[in-house]
This record gives sequence, structure tokens and C-alpha cells, in this order.
Amino acid sequence: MELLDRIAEQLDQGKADQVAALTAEAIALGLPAGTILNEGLIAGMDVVGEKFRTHQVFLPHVLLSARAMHAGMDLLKPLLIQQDVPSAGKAVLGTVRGDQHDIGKNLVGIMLEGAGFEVIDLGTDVAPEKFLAAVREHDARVIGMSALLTTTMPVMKEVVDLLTREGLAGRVKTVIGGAPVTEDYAREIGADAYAFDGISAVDRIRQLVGDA
Amino acid sequence: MTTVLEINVDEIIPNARAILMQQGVPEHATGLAELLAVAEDARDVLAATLAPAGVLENVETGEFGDIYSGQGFNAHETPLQLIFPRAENLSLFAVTCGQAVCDRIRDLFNINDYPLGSALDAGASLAADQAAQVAQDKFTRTLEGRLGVLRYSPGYCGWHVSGQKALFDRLDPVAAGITLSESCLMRPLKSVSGVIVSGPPDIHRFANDYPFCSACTGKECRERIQAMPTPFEKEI
Repeated sequence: MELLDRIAEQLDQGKADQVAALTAEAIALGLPAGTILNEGLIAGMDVVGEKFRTHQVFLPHVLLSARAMHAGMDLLKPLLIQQDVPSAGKAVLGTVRGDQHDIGKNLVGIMLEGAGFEVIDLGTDVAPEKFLAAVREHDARVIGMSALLTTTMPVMKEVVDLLTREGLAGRVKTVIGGAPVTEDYAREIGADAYAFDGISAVDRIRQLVGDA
Repeated sequence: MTTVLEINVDEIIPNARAILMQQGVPEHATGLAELLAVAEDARDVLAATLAPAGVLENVETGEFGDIYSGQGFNAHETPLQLIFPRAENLSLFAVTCGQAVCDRIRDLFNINDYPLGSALDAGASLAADQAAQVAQDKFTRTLEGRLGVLRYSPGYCGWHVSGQKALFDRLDPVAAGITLSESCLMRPLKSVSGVIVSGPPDIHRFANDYPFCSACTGKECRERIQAMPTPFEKEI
């Protein structure tokens, strides 16, 4: 079996040590970092993502694979920078002001990195101005916002409104999620998309980046 | 009078299967050896980091009415507004798993140990809910007669989460190490608060056709109502 297929397969199985070893082997053989990333690591995560969508595996399986992905990425990251390999896109993520829940947001970040995105994670309790500043600093095209409280959901609208006022709406896409958040709420506040979980967030953001 | 609850870790720690189910793994899924091993590791971490605590305080119906009104953001019609006036006893409660487990969850995600971090998060959520059950059981043991006992929390079933403010003003669960932020977020995060209601079992039965029910993904009310013995007889 080809080396890159083996990386993808071991990643699908959630085997972090094997993924790291095979990634090191691929690097030693002189394979381009972008090829290892796209045809090994991301290909493996895509398989896991599809299995998750079709209920063949569950969240804990995906997280084992994500950990394996990181084991490979730790080796690959310096080369990706050195070889100037572009990411799939940049996404700024954060849990909105007043809210400290971060598991859902973290899972979205993990999945996005697994799909080759560069993630700028602002953490929790993030003010609208901080989202805006991060977008400008990193030239990001996507903001992902999470809220677990109905009291903090309105901050999502503040961010959307701020982007509009600053003339960034349309250029910078917004995706929202969290337990009390719905597709209808996303429409109501003018967000570009709603994501139910980490895998659907990747799908939505891929679409949005493609549309941008 | 506020009762400070003693809650043992053994009373609230979930088993590995329950942790996986909380993470969305179906009850009868097979081939889970590796996942169960992670969940067992999470149990070990829970045993080492859980520091459960809680408080309980009885309130009169009229007083609870004011607390329940909160800041006036509740849904127009809610099940609890029909339930509590018919209650025989009401008790406010707040319980927590402590800060250490929350810190450990964050640390695990920071070092990319997502499987264990997620399992620990799921386990701590279950432990917090079980701590609330311990509070409910303690309250139930003070009762006499044939009663149905269920608990309700701000943020669910039309009780707006901002109701936490009035609840915390009255209960003041600082003794249990629980505080409330401006946005009504409890700290530590793995905490549960609300009201425990006892009365004739039928007062707790309501149809899940309120406007907010369609957006609810949990539907735990159905299971809890169903699990409530009818008629409930206190064990002595």
C-alpha cells in the first residue's frame, strides 16, 4: 500500500504513533509537505468525517483520529511553513462575550485543522471588537462563533452587525453554533451559516470559503 | 435555612458506558474497546479531580413565584408556572463538581488529548447532574406521603437562564463555591442549579407542545416524567 494511503488508513484508525512514524517516513523520503498533508492526513480525516456523517463512527472515534492528525501535523508544520504551502483558509473562532463554554468551539477548531484550515482560536468570552481585530490581523475570511447560553447569543448579532458597519460583511463570512443556536436564529441575525457540530462546521466553512 | 450538602465522589461518578453515551455513542454499539479504555481513564481522572459540593434551601410558594419571575424573560407560558403553585414543598438547590475537573478538561484540550478531554467533559456533566440527583434525594428524604419529586433548572422549559440571578440572590451558594457571572453563567462550569418540586405526581405531567419544545434537542423531561413512579411512595 502506498505510504500516503497508509497514513490515511492509520489516521482513520486513530493510531497517533503510527501516523507520526509514517509521516516522518514520508518526510524522510522527500515527499512534498503539501502532498503529505492533503493526500495523507486530510484524506484520512475526510474518511473519518464521512463515516461520522453516516453514523459508522461516533464522536470519540473522530477525536482519536484528530489526535492522530495532530501527531502528524506536529512534524509537518515546520515544513508547511518552509515550503510556503497555503492552508485551506483562515478561520477565527471564539466563544462570544459572557460565555465560558468552549468544548463545542474546541471541537470545531479540531475539525477545521483536520481539514487543513488555519485556526485562530480566540478562546472564550470574546468581545465583538476582538473578533474584528483578529480578522484584520490575520486576514481571515471566516468567523466561527459559539454560545451555550441564551443570554450570550445576542453577542453573535453584535459581531454580524459590526462586520456590516465596518464594510466587511460578505467578504468575511460568519458561522454560528452552540446548543441554543438554530438555523432560524442564524437567518434572523444575518449570519452566513449555522453549524450543528464540528463536521458540519467544516462542510459549511468549506462552502463559504469556496463562495468567497 | 441553607443546608450544605455532603456529596461523595462515589455517589456521582458515572460508569464508562454512560460517558460514551453522553458523547453520543449509542447504547448498544459494539467494537468499542478502545473508546471504553479512554472512558475508564476519564473515570480515573474524575475520581482524582471531582470535588462535589452543594446547597439546598426550602422556600415558600409565594417567594418562589417572585424568584421564578426573575427579570421577566420567561416564555409566555411554561410548565413550571403551572406546576409550582400546586406544589407541597419547594427547595432551591445548587451543586457543583468543583473547579479542578474543569481546569483538567481545559488542560487536556490544550495538549491535544481530545479523546480524554472530551470523555472527561462528558463524565463531569453526568457527575454534575448526578450531584443534583443527590440533592433531590436528600430533599425527598425529608418528605412524608405519596409525592412526585422532580427538579427544574433555569435555561430549560421556558425558564429563562437570567432567572439564575434571583435564584442565586436567594440561595447564595458561595458556601458550595459556586458563583454567577453577569451573563448568568455558573462557575465552576460543571454546576447545576434550580428548584426541586414535590407534590402530587400529576402536577409534573405536561405535554411537550410549548413553542420552545420544538427547539429543544434534549427532551429529558419526557424521560424524567416517565421515570417518576406513580404514585410515588417515600421509602422509609
